[in-house]
Amino acid sequence: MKAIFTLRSIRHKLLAGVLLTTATALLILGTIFIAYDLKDYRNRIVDELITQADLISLGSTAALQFEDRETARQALSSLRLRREISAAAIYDKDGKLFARYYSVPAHIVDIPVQGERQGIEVGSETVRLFRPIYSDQEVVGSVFLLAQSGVSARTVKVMLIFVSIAVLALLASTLLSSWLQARITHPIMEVTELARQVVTERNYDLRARRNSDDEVGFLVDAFNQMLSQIGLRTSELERSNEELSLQIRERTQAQNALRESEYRHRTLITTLSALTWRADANGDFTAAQTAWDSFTGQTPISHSGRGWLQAVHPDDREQINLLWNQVCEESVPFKQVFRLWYAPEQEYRYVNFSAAPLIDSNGRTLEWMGIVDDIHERTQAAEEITRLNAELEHRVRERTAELENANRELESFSYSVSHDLRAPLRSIDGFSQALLEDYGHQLDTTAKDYLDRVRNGAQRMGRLIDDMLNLSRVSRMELVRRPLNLSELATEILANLQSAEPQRQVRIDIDQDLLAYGDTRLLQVALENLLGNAWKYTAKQETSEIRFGQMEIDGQPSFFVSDNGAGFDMKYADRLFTPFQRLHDSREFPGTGVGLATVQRVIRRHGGHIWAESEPGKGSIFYFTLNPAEELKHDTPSDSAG
Amino acid sequence: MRAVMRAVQILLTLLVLQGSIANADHDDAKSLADQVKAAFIFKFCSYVEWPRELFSSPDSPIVIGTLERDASMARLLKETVRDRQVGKRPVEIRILPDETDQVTGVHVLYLGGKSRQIHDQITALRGKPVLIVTDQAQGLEIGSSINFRREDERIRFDISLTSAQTNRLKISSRLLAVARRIEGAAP
Repeated sequence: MKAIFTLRSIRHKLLAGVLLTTATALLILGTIFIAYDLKDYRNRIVDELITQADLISLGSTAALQFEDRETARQALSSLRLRREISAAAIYDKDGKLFARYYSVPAHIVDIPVQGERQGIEVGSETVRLFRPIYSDQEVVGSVFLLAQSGVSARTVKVMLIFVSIAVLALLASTLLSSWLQARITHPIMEVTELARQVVTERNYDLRARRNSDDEVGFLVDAFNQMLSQIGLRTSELERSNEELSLQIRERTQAQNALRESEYRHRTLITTLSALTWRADANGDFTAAQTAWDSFTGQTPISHSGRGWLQAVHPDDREQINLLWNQVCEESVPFKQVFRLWYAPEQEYRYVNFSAAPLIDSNGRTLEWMGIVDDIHERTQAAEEITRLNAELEHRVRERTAELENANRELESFSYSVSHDLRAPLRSIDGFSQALLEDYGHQLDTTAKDYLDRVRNGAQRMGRLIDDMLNLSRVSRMELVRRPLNLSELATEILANLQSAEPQRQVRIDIDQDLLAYGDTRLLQVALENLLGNAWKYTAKQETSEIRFGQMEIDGQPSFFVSDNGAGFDMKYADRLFTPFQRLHDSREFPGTGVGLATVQRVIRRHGGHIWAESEPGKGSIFYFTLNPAEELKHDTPSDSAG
Repeated sequence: MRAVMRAVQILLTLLVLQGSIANADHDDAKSLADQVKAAFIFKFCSYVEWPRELFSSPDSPIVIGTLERDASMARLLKETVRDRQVGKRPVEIRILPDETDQVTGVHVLYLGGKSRQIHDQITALRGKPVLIVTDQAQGLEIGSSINFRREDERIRFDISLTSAQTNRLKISSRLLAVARRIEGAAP
C-alpha cells in the first residue's frame, strides 16, 4: 500500500489523483446507486406482493366470509401464473389455515400453520408477507405470500453493472489523465529535467522553453527568472567567497605576522642585553627590579621611590629628575640617553633609557615600563667617528687650500711663460731676420744657414710655448657646452689647411651633419690637432685621403678621423697621448708632441675617451666619443652654428 | 360392596350423561347451522346493491326482516348484527307477522320453512327491491334470490340472478364466485 503512495513522478501522482478521484466518486455513486436500487427493488417487490395479496384477499373475502375453501383455493391457484411466488395461504380471522397454494410440493413446509395478521420479512432469497383481509373495516382473515425475493440476484446484477461502469470510467480517466499529462505535466517534466540538469551541471545559463500561456508558462518564466537570479547570486557569491578567502588569507598572514612579531618580541626581550624595569603610575620603582639592581648594584630599598635616580651620573641626575617628573605628569613615552652607574666595572656607562606608560581605556596611567639599553660602546664609537670626520674635513680643507695655491702659482707661471718667455724669443727671431735682411749680403752661406737655424729653433720654441699654453688653457678653461655641427667645423679646418698648401692633392671625405654638444673652442682645438696630424702625416703620399665620420662601436656612437698616412706601431699606442712623446722624428714630421695630449684633455673634459688604431705605412684612425647623454639634448642643425 | 355400588352408580351416571350430551349435540348442530345462516344473511348485505332511492342518507340502516315463526333466526340475527355495520349503515332486524303480504321498509327478507304461504309472499314481492333468502329445495324456482342448501355438512347457497334482476338488485360477482349454483345470466 505505501509503495503506491510514495510516487516519485508528478505524472504518476496526477494519474493516481485522477484515478483515485474517479474511484472515490464511483464508489460513493455506486454505493448510493446500489443501495437505492436495492431499496427500490425491495419496495417494488413488496408493493407488487402487497398488490398481489390485496388481489387475493379481494378474491377470497367472500370465500372466507362464506367459508368456501374451494373458492379460496381457486383464488390462490391463479398464482400459478406468478412463477416467483412459491407458496401462498389464506387464514381465517382466528389465524387458522383456510386455504393454501404451493408451486412445488417442497414448499409445503414453508407455509406456517398459524397465520399472522400483518408482517413483511424480506430476506436475500425470499419475501414473506402477511396481509390482513378486510371486509367493511373488519378483519376477516389474512393472506400469506412466500416469493423469491431475487435481492441477491439483483445485487449481483447491479454490482456487475457498477463494476462495468467503474472499469469504463477508470479507462476514460486514464485516457484523460494521459491527455492532461501531455498538456500539463510534459512542460513541468521539461522544467524538472532542466532543473535536474542545472543541479548536476551547475549551469545557470540554461533556460526553459515556454510552450503555453497558462500557469505552467508562468512557472517556466518564473523558473527562468529564478535561474538568472541564481546565476547572478552564484557569481556574486563566488566573487564574495573569493574576496572572503582573500581576506581570510590576508588575515591569516596578518595573524602569522603578528605571531611572528610577538615571538620575535618575546625572543628579543629574553635575549636582550638591555634590562627591563617597571614603575608605578607616579614613576616610582616597584619593589622587584633584579635586572636594574644587578646593573647598578642598588637594592630594593635604595632604588625604591625615586631612589633609582641615585644611580644616574651626578651631571645628568638633575636634568633626568626634572624630565622624569614632567613625563610622569604628561604620561607620554620618554627616551633619553644618560650615564648610569655600572657596578660590575665600577664605572658610568652611557645607556638609552626608554619608558612607556601603560594607559587604560579611561586614559589613566596604570604603570610605567621600559628598558635600559647599554649603548656605551656605541656612543664611544660614534664620538670617535665624529672626531675622525672633523679631522678629515680639516685636512681636506688644508689640501684644497694648498692645491688652490699651487694652481694659482701654475697659472702665474703660465702667464710668465707666455709673456715673459715669448718676448725674448721674438727678439731672437726678429733680430735674426733683421740680420739676414740687412746684412745678408755680407754674410757667407754658412752664416746664413746658422741664422736660419737660429730662427727655426726660436720659432719651434715659440710654437712649443703656444702648444703648452694651449694645453694648460684647455685644462683650465671653463666648459661652455652648446650644440654644434662637427662636419662644418672639420670642413672649415681642412679648407684652411688646403689654402695653406694649395699644391697638395688631398681627397677629403666628411660625413654630413655630425652633431655634437660641447664647447666650440675646445672641440675646434681637438679637431684642428687631429685633422692637422692627418694632413701632416699624409704629406708624403702621392694622393692623401682624409676621412671624418661617425660609426657605432660597442653600442656607442663614435667619431673617427682616418688617413692613409705614415701610421705608427701599435706597441707605442700607450705613449701616443702623453705630452712630448713623439713617434716620428721632428725632421721627418715636425711637431711638438703636445697636440694629442691636448686632444685627449678636451675629449676627457667632455666626458668621452679617445683611442687609435694604426699600422706603420698604412695610415691611422683616431676614434673619440663625447658624452652621449649630452649629445642627445640637441638635434637641430641651426643650433650648431658656432 | 359399597365400592361396587359406587362404581355402578358412576357408570349409570355416565350413561345418563352420555345420552344427554348426544341429544345436546344434535341441538347444537342445528343451532350452529342457524348461526352460520344468520352470519351469511348479514354478510350478503355487503355484496348486494339496492336501488339508491331506498336510502334517504348514506348512514340509513339496512333492515333485515324475518317472520314471527322464524323467531329463533331473528334472535340469532340480532346477535350477529349487534354493533356491526355494512359500510356506514347500521343493520336492523324487523320481525314481521307470518301472514303479512305487505312487506315494506325491508331490504332483506328471510323466509324459513316450507309453508305454502312463502310462494305467495314471494310472488307479492316480485319487482320490489327486497332480497329474498329462502331455505328450501325449490327456493329459486318460486322466486327467491338466494337459497341456502346443505352440502357436506356445510351451509352453501344458490343465487338466482333472474330473481335479483326482477327485484332491481345487483349482486356482486364476488358473491357469485362462492355460490354453488347460479341461475340466470348476468346482465
